[in-house]
Amino acid sequence: MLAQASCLCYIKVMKPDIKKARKHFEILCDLASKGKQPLAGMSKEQAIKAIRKTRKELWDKKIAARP
Amino acid sequence: MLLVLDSNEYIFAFGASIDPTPRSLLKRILDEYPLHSIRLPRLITDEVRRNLSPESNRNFMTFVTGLAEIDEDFVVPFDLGAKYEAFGFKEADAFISAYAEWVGADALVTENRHFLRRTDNLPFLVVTAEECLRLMNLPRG
Repeated sequence: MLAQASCLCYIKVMKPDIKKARKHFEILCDLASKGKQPLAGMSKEQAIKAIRKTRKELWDKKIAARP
Repeated sequence: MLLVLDSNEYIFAFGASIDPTPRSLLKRILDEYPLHSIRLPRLITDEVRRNLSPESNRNFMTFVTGLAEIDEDFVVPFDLGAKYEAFGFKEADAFISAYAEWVGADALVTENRHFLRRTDNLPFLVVTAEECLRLMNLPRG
């Protein structure tokens, strides 16, 4: 019963909600215009380099956590 | 089109306003849904969250769960990742490529040159946000 309920919750979460996505898209654009973002002020190349560094760190952590 | 957007696209759209095109692409996907859809692995959401402010972070998760389907990283077959490593991709990039193949994506959208210079013989297109918008303008059929 519990497994069935969890499964239903999972399906509900995965269902697209474009209205909600649109609302939060607008909020995100507004927040971006206010600055205070970790990569603000960087050039495109600098930002890509920083994102690649994040990717490597997260990947190494995921690999290390594997049984 | 089924698209996999790399983390740099979301970060450029909502984090550091470095390039306006990724935001235009996401707006277009929203406006034309379900004509175009997005899937992404957990790794990409983690990367985006690390590079957004805490407030943007919360909104990003609500945005992305409303628009896209998120898959856990472990669902991607290991052999598929190994195939892309053999192509010369770094481990995590190999995983993203394997994921794009596994979901049957039409295109992987990225601003990352490490992907963009290895586009031969892949089962999906590797394009920038600008190129993706151009593809969306092409007549379908």
